[in-house]
Amino acid sequence: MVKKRFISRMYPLTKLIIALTLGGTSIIVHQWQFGYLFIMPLMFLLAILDGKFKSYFKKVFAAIVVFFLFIFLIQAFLVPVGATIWQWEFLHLTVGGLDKALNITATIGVFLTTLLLVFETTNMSDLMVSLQKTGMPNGAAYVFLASIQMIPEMNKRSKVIMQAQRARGIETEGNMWVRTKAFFPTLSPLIISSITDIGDKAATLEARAFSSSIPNTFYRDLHASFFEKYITVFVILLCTLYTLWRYVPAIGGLL
Amino acid sequence: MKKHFTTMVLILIPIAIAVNVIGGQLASILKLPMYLDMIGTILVAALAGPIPAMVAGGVTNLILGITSPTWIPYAIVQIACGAVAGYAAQKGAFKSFKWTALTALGVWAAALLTAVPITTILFGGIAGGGGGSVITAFFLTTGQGLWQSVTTSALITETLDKFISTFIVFFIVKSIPVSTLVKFPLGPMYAEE
Repeated sequence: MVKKRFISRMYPLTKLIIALTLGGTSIIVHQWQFGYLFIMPLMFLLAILDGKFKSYFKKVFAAIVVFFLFIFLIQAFLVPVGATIWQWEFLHLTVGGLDKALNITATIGVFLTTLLLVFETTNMSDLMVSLQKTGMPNGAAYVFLASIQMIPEMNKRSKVIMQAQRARGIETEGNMWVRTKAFFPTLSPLIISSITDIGDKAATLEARAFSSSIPNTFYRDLHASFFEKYITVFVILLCTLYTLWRYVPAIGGLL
Repeated sequence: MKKHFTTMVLILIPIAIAVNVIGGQLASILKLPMYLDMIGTILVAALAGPIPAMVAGGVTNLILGITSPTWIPYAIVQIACGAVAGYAAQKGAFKSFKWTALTALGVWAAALLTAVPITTILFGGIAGGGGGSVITAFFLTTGQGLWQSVTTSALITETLDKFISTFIVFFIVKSIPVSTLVKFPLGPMYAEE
């Protein structure tokens, strides 16, 4: 087994809280420099240190490229605000538009890069155990974990159904009406067969005392270290200070 | 809480979430100009009422958010639609064709009222999915404002989508065996006839 590095070893809840704090801060401070010059490079650096850079970068890249391109196209060019910097045909790049595009993409970028790093380096079951320890009901943990397992499983089943329907002669290519008609015979057998299975699944879970109200024991044992408990507080404090600095003129704020 | 979330409902929710995700994937495989990512949520609404439906909808987008976090804000759309459909279902809307159509109208309104502000304010006009964005960009080049363009593009993608999703659920509820149906909180209502 590969030895887990720093970020992957961190307590899941700590990572999640830090990621959400950073995201929240980027919404409040509304400054693109925070995202582009600080958080995004930092997240890439952490991913490199954690040895997860390749798969992490692929995911970030896939999520960001088209999205950011569109936002820039629309915000910077098509919603004119203020003086024009550059123009080509009907496209006008304006100061206000560029600023807005940078701000929106920076905020989204912070959320994307931090959350993707958390999920890239965290085992979902660990995250659920750490949430259950803070008082989340086990039903909620079940819903999350079962959904994550159910999606690929039902996906496989939907492909089987689609092939069966194709063999029977249903067309999946052609005009929109033909394609829409192919949607129902694929999805409805999937839904109905899954629902009729629910009874068996309920019996299985109940045989393992699923709805018992006695406190659970965990197969996975997780503890937040001293460092992990206090780094959350530290990050929240830093973000609060930054927000104050941004908005309170007395200590050098910008507004 | 226990009243809403029986074991049957807790098992139904992950299935509904998978149906949401697969419905969305299938719609894009078949290149349909719709999302169809809410069928599961409306199904939970019909079988178990508003609160489980809101949970199913919200968690769907949180799970989609694991791979692409831009889906997360749209959880609000799912939650709003789940609430509307669930409330209507409690009143027995999925029993008749006419009331299902009205429910679809409510779901459609809830989707528009939540999705358009999220797309416009949070993402500056770009829908997380992508398909709608091309339409939005098109309307912008014709000189319409941002809110107007996003609304028009949402009208095009959402309208048929929500009606189809709601009616699929109407027909599915009709084809679930009664023995399974009665185990859900709202199930006995459909079994009476």
